[in-house]
Amino acid sequence: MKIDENKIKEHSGVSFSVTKTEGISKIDFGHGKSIENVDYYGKVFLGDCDPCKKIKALYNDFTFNKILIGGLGLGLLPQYAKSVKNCSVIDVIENNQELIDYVDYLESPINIIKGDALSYTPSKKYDLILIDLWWEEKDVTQEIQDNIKNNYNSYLEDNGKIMIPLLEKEIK
Amino acid sequence: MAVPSSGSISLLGICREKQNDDYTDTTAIQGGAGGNVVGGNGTISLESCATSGGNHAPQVVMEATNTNSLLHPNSSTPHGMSEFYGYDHDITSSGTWYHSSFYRSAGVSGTGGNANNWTHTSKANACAASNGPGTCAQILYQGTLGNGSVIYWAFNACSGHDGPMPGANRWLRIDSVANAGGTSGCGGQYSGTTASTIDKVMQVNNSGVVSNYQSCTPARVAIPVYSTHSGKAVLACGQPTDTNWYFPSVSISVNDQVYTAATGTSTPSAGNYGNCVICSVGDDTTARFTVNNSGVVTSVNSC
Repeated sequence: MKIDENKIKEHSGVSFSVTKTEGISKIDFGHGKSIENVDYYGKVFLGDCDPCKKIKALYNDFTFNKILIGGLGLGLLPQYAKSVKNCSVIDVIENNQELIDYVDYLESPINIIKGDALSYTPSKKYDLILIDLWWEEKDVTQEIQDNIKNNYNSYLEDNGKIMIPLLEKEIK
Repeated sequence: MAVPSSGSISLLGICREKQNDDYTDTTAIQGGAGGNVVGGNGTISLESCATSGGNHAPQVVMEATNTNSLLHPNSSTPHGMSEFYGYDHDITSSGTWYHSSFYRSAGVSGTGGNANNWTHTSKANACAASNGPGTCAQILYQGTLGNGSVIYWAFNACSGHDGPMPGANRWLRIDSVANAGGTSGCGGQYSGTTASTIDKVMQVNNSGVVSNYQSCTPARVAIPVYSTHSGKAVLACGQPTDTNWYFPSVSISVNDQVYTAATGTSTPSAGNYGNCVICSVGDDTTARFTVNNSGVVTSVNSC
C-alpha cells in the first residue's frame, strides 16, 4: 500500500528532496539513497512478498497488532501497517525534524515520535519492533544489533519480535 | 615415452617400446617366447618388431602393434625403422585424430626449436593474433580437445606428426582448418577440427599437455533481471524481471563482470538489482546482487 500521491508534495529541503516522475514520488537523501512511493516497500518489509522467502519466513505463524517502527521515510511502512495489517498501535521513531514536519499526511493511529530509534525508551510494549534506518547491510554492525536487542527486548509482548528487514533478520 | 618422432632411433629402443611401453625403459625385455632378450635367450630383429616375430623363432615374439597409435609401422616388407617414428605402444585412446590451423606469433619454419613461433607469450597476445601458419603446418589432437589433451604438431606432413608440441607453457590459439597455410590440403588421415574448438586458446606444456583451455571471448549467459536500482538491496527481491543481462555463467558469483547487452559493450550502473533463476523475463526475482561502478558483482544473495 503506497501513499496517496495527491497527499505528497514536491519538496527541496536541507536533508532530503521529494520529486515526482511520471506521477511517482521519490524521496532522495542524496548519494543514490532514495525511496519511491511504491506498493512493494511495505509488502516486502512486512512479510507479504512471496518470492522474498527469507523475510517472509520471519513472519511465519506470526501476527502483530502493535508495532513500533524505527525510521519514517515517506511513511510507507506505517501506512502499510495501518491499511493492510490493520494494526491498532503504530508508533514511528524519527529523529529528522525536517522529515517529521514534511510527512504530515499520515493519519491515526499512526503516531510519529521524535527521537533516536537506537536509544528510544518506549512507554509501552509492542508485538513487533521493526528498525529500518540503514541503506547498506554492512552498516548494521553486530554491536548495533546487540544494542537494539538490549534497548528493546523488555518492550516486547509475549512472542513479540525485533526485526531488521534490511538484514532479513530477527534480532534474538 | 613413445619412439622419438625424428632423428636417430635404435632397434633396442623400438623393442623396448613394444615390450616395455617405453622407448627408454631399460628393464630386461621379456618376450612372449625365448626368455629375456637382454641377458637371456632369444633375439630381436626389425622383422620381429614389425611382425611380432612369431614365425621366426628364436626371435622374441613381440606384442602386436597397437594401431591406435597414429604413427605405427605396417607389417609389410620391406620393413623400415623409420616406420616406428612416433610409435606409442601403450596409447589407449582410439578417438578420432583431428587437425587444425593456428595463429602464429612469428614465421613458422618447422618443428624442432620453432615452437615459440607457433605459440604466444600470453593469452591476450594469442587472442589478438591474426596470422595463420603461413605454410603447411598444423596441430593435431585426439578425441575431444580440453585440459589434459595432448597437442601434437606436424610440419610439411600429411600423415603422422612430429610428436607432442614442446609448448613451454606458452599460449596456443586454434583456428579452423581452412585458415591460410595449406593445412586443409594436408588433410591426410585426419579430420578437420570441430567448430567448437575454433578460436579456443590454451597453454601447452613441454609434453604437449593442454591446460587453461578456454575461449578468447568469455561466455555470456543471459539472465532475467530487475534492472531498476534498489536503494536497499533487499527491495530488489520479489520484483518483476524486465530484461536480460549477461553473466559469465548461469550462477551469478562475486567478481562476475555483468553486461547489459550480449555484445558486452555496456555495463550496468553501480547499484542493487534482482534476478530470477531458471526463469523467463517477466518472472519475479528470487535473488539479488550488487554491482560496482565497473559492473562487477560485489555481493550475491538469495531472497
